Amino acid sequence: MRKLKAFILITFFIFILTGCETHKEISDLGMVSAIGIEKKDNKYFISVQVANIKKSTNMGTDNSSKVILYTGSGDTSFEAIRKVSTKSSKKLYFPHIKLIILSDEIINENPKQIIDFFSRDNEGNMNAYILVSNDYTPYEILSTITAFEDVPAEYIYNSLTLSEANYGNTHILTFEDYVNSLIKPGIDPVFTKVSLSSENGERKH
Amino acid sequence: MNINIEIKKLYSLKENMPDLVIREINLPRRQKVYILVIQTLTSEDKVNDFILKYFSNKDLFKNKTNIKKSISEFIPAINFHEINNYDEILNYLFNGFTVVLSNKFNASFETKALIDRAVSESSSEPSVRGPKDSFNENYQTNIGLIRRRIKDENLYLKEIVLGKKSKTRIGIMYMNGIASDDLIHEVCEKINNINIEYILDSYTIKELIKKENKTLFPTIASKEKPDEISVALLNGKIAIIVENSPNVLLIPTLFIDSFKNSEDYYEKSFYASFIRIIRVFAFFLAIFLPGFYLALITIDQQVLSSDLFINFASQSVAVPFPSVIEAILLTLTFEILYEGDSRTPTSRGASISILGALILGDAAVNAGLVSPIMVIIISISSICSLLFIFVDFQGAIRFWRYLCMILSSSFGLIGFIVSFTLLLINICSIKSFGIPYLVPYIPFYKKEALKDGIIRQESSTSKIDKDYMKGA
Repeated sequence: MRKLKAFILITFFIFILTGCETHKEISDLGMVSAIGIEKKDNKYFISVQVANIKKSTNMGTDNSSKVILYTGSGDTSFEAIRKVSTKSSKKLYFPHIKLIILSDEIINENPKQIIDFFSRDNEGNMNAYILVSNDYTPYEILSTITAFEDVPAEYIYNSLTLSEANYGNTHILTFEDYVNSLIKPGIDPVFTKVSLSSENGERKH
Repeated sequence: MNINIEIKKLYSLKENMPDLVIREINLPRRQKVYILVIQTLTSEDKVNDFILKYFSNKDLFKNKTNIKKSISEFIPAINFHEINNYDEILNYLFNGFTVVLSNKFNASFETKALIDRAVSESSSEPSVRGPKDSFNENYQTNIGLIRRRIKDENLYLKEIVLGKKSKTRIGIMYMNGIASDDLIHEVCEKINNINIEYILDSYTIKELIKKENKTLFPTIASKEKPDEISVALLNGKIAIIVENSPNVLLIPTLFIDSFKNSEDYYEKSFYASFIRIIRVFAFFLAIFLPGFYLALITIDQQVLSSDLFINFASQSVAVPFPSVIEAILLTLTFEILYEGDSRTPTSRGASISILGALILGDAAVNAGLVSPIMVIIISISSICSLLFIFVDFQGAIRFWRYLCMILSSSFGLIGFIVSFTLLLINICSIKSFGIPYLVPYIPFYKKEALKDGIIRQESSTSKIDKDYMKGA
């Protein structure tokens, strides 16, 4: 009987002290598929592409877009990302992120903040591809509508993977590789550049 | 023993027991014989044809002075006992015997009535291809059904009478030489120590002789088919037959026995092995599927791929409850549905299934109370648990399913792994009457495992090697 009481007490305390701390309902999460970061006048501008999850109704096809684009700005990248919560009703959920599009200035000056933000996150997002965009701002790239895929980030992601396997002219840099190449001596990171090639918004690198 | 006192006592009993019939017969030479019968327990034909007919033939008694000799030698009844005291009279009367009392000699003859249902198909353990006869409530019939299949003199039967008010006969059957002696000794001792008022079904005995194991998994099985019991007896197990109960207990029962079915022996071994593997699969699905899904939905969404994430999320948006509540509600509703299905008479069974299908399948989803994927997962899990005919096993599955759901939804995939480990620890620590529960796999007996474990080989003529039943 004593053992049973001890057991009940311990389980009770487990639930009260830690609780279901990591409990998040799947419908409260906004799945981020791509993030674009640029820097102007010492301020960070962030645009985030979030999957638009609606009730699945059986009445025909709905013509609304499958993604929503949010922007936020702030003195640090962290503040900019958190500011997006003033516009979004769902908590940003980064583990499914596919692309990180950076602008030139960030890479040339000091990418310390960006690296910090992504590598210290406890949700796994080191598999995202890093891209650089020179001529167009990341915001413009993320807001183009693409063929085949509903989510533009997935289009870019799939196309990059395919062309690396079949064509061989592309080099994919995941965030993890980027951080590793910065740490190890003797290797420099090689970025892939993304830009819009026509008004239709075709991607070319 | 003085017959007049006995008869007076019996006449006084007759006030409150009107079916006790006492008949006086006057024989020549001033001898009197009393014939006692409890009418509801004996068959009138037998009493009239054999006993009364004999006594009405007065010629037989004309010149004989020795009643004992005439009764014991000339009445045509094969089961004949001599009575020595009053308790025995009542005992034999209640067992359906006809008691003949006279001054010098008392005897009883068996004239039992057939107030049982016929040997018919079992409703709870249907069989498609094999023999379909199943036990009924008559003690003699059950033993006969087993003896018919094992025509060997080594099939021993020990009878014990238990229960102060019910005086139920318990029969312990085993094959001498195949079953282990320690086991027989232990079982007999335990049954002899039972001190109880009445026994209505074999389940009471099961609870009383079960060892303290702290587990929900069954260590004693109850079966209704004689062919399964015969196979088990030949494999070294002990069968306990209880009067008035169609369930025969089997000791010891191992984990693997819940996955076996008698049908497996009457089909091609390839198919039987395949079905058994599917049953193992169904066991794991039934326990772990809802918990796994809950862990993925509520805590560890990182594991899902993007498409699944969007799919599940768009379904959960419509539901106003958190996923855990939804899962538990659905599971409870399924339990209620199954319970209602088994209790309604067949005349009303159709409406329950329609209600269940419509309400759960269609209306609840359309009303936005549950998401379709949750219905699919819970119904797969419930159907998988129905594969096991043995109800105790289903109860164990139920408990572990709820535990897995609670742990997974609170702690994610780690909670899921913890519940899996707990289940494994529980199963590995059970000992059924001294034999580890996971024989023949842990500890590994190669011959047994290959011959009749999950995989069934073709029947061979090899001798039965039952070392592992000798206990650990």
